[in-house]
Amino acid sequence: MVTTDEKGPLTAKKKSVIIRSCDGDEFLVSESAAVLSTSLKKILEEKEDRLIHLSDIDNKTLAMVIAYLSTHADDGLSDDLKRSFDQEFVSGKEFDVLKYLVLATDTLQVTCLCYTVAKKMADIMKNKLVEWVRREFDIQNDYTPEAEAEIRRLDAWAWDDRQLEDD
Amino acid sequence: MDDEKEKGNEATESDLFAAADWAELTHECLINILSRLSLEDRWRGALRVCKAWHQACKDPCLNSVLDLEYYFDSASELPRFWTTEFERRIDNMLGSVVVWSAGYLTEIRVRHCSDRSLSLVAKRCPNLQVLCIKSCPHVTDEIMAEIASGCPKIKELDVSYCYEVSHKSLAIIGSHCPNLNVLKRNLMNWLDPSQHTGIVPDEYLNACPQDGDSEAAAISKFMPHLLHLELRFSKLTAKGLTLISEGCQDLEYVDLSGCANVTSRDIANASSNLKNLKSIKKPNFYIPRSVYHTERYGHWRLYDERFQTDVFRI
Repeated sequence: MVTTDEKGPLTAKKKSVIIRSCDGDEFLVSESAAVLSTSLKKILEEKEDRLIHLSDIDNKTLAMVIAYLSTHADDGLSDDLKRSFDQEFVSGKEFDVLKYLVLATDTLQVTCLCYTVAKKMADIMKNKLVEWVRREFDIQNDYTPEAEAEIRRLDAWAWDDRQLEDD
Repeated sequence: MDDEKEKGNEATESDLFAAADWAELTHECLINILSRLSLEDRWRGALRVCKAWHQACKDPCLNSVLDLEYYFDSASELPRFWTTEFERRIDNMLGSVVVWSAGYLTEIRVRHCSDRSLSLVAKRCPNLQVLCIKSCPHVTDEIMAEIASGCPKIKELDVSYCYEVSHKSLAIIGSHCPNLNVLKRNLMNWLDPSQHTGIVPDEYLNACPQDGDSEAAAISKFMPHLLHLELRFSKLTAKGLTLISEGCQDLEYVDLSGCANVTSRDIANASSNLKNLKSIKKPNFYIPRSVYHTERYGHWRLYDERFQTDVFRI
């Protein structure tokens, strides 16, 4: 068991950071949780300031990410518990919510969460048509019809006649 | 734009997180998602979504393995696989992956490809360790010679049901690839071809290689480090089997199912040479599925069906 007193009473006093979402809500987070995000860690190393403003993560998404970080920073929880937390964390989430989570984990560089969410996203994309993916992920098709036909011809899947889902 | 970048360098928090667009996820994150997709979902979905995703799908780290076995296994073997049109499709896929892998392709498990894609493999896959190309009617000894010199790291080779491949290929692969320890060289069931007729072209079934002993001699001479050897329905005789048992003394697993020209005594003699042998499948493991047997064992089949149903109900 790691106790917080190991490094001496002063430094072990849990330092906190305030993180502000793009819509202005502020969250108090322990430093040990914040540094699980590579981006936040970098900022904390560079600056003494304890207030970090994230201009493109909304409060709902940020709250989820922080819940995740705090759970994973908690030394009192076993790995098994953390794993089942991860499962719970992504299950039953709306597609839109996950979408923002992926973007947030990407900007914040939270490797372990990125892994969990990426897996969930991949599960959602299973057996889906290109059109479905574009629509749900809100991605602009930047191919001309000719270029798209060319891609389909050149990089064709050998079993292309098998049916895919569009809902 | 430049102004914004300038400010970013000053490391103010808000600018560090420049507006993130869904289509412009970092390359790492996108690859993280794509790497969790099945090959089919990646090819039929992600690859065609937009230019950025297409680019990501071509990343060498997503293309170090091409394993299509699952897709061949899941569909019942269709006559269509044996058409030149299907062969062209597989060649195209393999060709693309070879290019995208940028030399890092280590494992190929496909069927029905031809020398068209394999010549590219020979030129651009120096790190290849596994080459499984079952059922490739147009793969020849010439192309296998190119593979042998271009891919010296091969450890596992499956040239089952490739009837244009002869003992010459086995010899040249063996002599160029010192790490080879798995060889699969199975033939189709010629004792009772009923399971193949209607799917595999008749003339191909009739072209079944006859020179089991020359193949055995090549294996014995050039593949001394084999651990795993499959020769189902090979026409080798006691002579060939003895050569193998003398030349490949490390063998742990040998499959001789359907090798009708060797007797139990031949196998017992050969096995006594193989000190590391853990498992040997003997020809008599094979029960022909002829009409006669179907009738004779009809009651067993009924029993089997009932048993299976029960299993699924649980």
